Amino acid sequence: MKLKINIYDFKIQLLIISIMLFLTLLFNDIYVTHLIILCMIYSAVAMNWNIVAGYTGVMHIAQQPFFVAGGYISGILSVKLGYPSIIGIIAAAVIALLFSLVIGAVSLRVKGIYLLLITLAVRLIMLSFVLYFIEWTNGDTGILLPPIEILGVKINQFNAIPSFIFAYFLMMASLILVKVISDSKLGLAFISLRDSEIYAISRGINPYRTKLTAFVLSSWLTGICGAFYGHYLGTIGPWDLGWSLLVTLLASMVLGGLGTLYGPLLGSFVLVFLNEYFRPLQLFRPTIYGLLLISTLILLPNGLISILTKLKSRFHLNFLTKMNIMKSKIESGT
Amino acid sequence: MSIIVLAIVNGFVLSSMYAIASLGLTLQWGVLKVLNFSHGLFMTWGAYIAYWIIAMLGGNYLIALPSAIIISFFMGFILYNFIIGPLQTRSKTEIVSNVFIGTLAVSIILENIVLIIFGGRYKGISTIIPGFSNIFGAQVSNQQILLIMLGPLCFGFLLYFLSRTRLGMAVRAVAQDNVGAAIVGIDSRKVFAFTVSIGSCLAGLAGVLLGAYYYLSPQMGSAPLITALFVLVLGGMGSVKGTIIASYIIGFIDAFSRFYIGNFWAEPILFVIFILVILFRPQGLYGVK
Amino acid sequence: MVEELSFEKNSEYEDNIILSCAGICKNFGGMAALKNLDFQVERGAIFGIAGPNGAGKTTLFNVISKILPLDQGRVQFDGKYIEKLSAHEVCRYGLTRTFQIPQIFKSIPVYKNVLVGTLFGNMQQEGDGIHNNIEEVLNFVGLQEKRDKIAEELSLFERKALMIATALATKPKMLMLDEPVAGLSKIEANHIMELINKINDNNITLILIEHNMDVLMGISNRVMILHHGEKICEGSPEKVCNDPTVIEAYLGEKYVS
Repeated sequence: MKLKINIYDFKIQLLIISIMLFLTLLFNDIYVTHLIILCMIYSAVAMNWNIVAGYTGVMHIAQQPFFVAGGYISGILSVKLGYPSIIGIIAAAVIALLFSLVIGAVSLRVKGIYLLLITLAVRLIMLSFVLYFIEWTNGDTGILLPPIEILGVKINQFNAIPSFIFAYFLMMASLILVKVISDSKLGLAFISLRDSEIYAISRGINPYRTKLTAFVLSSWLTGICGAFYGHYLGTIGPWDLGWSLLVTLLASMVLGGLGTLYGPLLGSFVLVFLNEYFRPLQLFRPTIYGLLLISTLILLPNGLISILTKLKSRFHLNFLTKMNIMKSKIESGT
Repeated sequence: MSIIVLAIVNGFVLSSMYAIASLGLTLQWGVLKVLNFSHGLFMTWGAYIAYWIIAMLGGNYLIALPSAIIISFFMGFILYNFIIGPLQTRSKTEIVSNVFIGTLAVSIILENIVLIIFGGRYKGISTIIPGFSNIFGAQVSNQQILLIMLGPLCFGFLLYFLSRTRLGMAVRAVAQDNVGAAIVGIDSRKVFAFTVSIGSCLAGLAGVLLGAYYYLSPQMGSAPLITALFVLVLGGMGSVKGTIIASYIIGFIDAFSRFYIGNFWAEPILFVIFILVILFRPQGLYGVK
Repeated sequence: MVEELSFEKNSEYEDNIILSCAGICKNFGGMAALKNLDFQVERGAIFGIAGPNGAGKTTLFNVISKILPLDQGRVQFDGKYIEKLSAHEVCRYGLTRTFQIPQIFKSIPVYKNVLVGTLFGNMQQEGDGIHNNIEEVLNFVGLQEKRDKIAEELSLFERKALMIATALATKPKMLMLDEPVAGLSKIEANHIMELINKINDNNITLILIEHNMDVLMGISNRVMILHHGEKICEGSPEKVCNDPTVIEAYLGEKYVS
């Protein structure tokens, strides 16, 4: 019996991605592994953001506050209050979730640019709080976080393998979350709202509640990613609330493909590696990112993934045509 | 006693500058229905163009100011034709999202270029008009007097332009109903391009004034942009009258809080008010909903 | 998840009236789009609404289906007052509408479009019934062949048919169709007309907004003409066509059907 490997099967795709990721460990280069870990974290956050911005069509910039809140919560709990890092991580998820519930409940009362502006204000409020409550956040300096400790294993940037595995799980969890959502009834509601809100409403979809659900679903893993990010790099600070990180995450999503499963994943990997390739031009990085973003918006609005999709349908079409020809040949007895 | 006078003077100065910065943004919003997030960077560029001409080429404000305005006008023209315009026609539903990302991208490019050419250190340029005068017993710099006058002047020009000139009326027509405007023969695209250009040159002017009054840095445009957003939301996005009034309200609140409060809570409270206005009165004072 | 919806039952519940509108008023800024509108629709009927552009026909649909809030008036549907419902709840009560500009969920296939109606528009649907419901509906409108096609690729006619299909998937008691044949060729329009008759044969009440007089007068049991937000005539097609006010305001000459 022939073993058929269907590359359209999600589990096979996960396997391929996992193999590709773990192969990079063979480079035995701590810097390469570091880059891959960053890719995985950025892609996890971007994929979660994509649930709201891509699948549901609600563009906002509250994702960064969720991420950074996770980092700060875990930092404060570990450093200022002395809790083990595992508590910090769980707290990060919970707080990010509550945070998203509140922000979503408020922002979703308005639409479009107004919603965006509210999330912008939230970001700025958070920044000013972070800079003010120095006893908790160390203000400008940021918090120095200890490594995560699970069962005696330390996770930080000096321990590549455990960090890799943790980040890998976060990325996989995000990927699976998005996949499960997009195949579910809820995912259908998200897409319907994006494609035509008024039509979706007229067919029974509750817009406010559905969008709020999207917000909440997209935040808890993001919080955990933020916590990991803080422990891994060893610091979290107000600079993490700046435009640089926002643009990196936004670009991953947009470049890869808004509203697609693998878009943000592809996008973040392309960006991190372009960044490395253009290391000598590090100074120009924002310009390069900016130009990439603009080109994507204008030339390839559905992202890099759309190139792959076009190839796939062309391949599929060829394949189907060949199959049909073969079928008719068999049937006519040739 | 003179502290209050200083605060009042500063209030007029800040209001005037905020008005110039915000008018350009509100015009673009009112006519194109999009928010140009690179507006802050256009201010920054205005400032740095003036710096280049004055500090590096040895010119003076008589050359620098008009140059900044003209160059900003053309930059706005390019911004419309290459970015905002194409995004407008692309997708009606995602236009907000696309223009936000697009103009955000433009702003990071523009900030990067400034950083590369001029470096990140704070820079200063000379005062526009040196010297002091005595107004109601307080020492007021001549530059402050100029700044106080420029805001209402720009507002006056804009009002005249919008109500008395053909192009201005075309702008108002497109802002109200661009399909209707097309029916009477107005080319919306030209009006859009012109509006972005004019809005950008107002930003450039604001930038020069900010650079002269304070100092220059690559990030100098982000706080004024936030303030302009505040003004727009409070006054009514797209309403010229609302923008002016809101500029003065916010300008004075800003001036007085600097002298009296120096408090942390001022900033977050302002942002919370921002959110509340959006939630409960999104049309602001004079906007349309 | 089942939401508890509150409703009031009218004590004077009339079995054969499915929709009753009383004193409907809707203003936009200073302009009155609907002024004190009263009318009733009999269960199982096909009720036509016509009138010049800007008469308020689509606004009426929007206000009944709660896409827009009602300023004044009462709307009674199937024995319950629905003015306080949210737009998405109206559908679950058995009142579904279509739109003048054909709406589709463009990024998903046809059968998924219908699935939306099935899953969200009618709370009782769970389990195997879903698949059958979709197939049934697609067969009914004739889109069975195109079930896997991405909605964006459909023609105008197919989009209109799909919009009706998703409406049917919500198992409505009454369907409100906003200009169902606008922009279609004569053959396509006839297809839609047949569809409408088939729907009516299945005991679904229909309200139609149409400019095409052949279509409207040919199929409706009763017609109402709106002008400047007010009802200027209501009755059988023959009566309405011969009414002098209607002729002056709308038809322009005696319409001979």
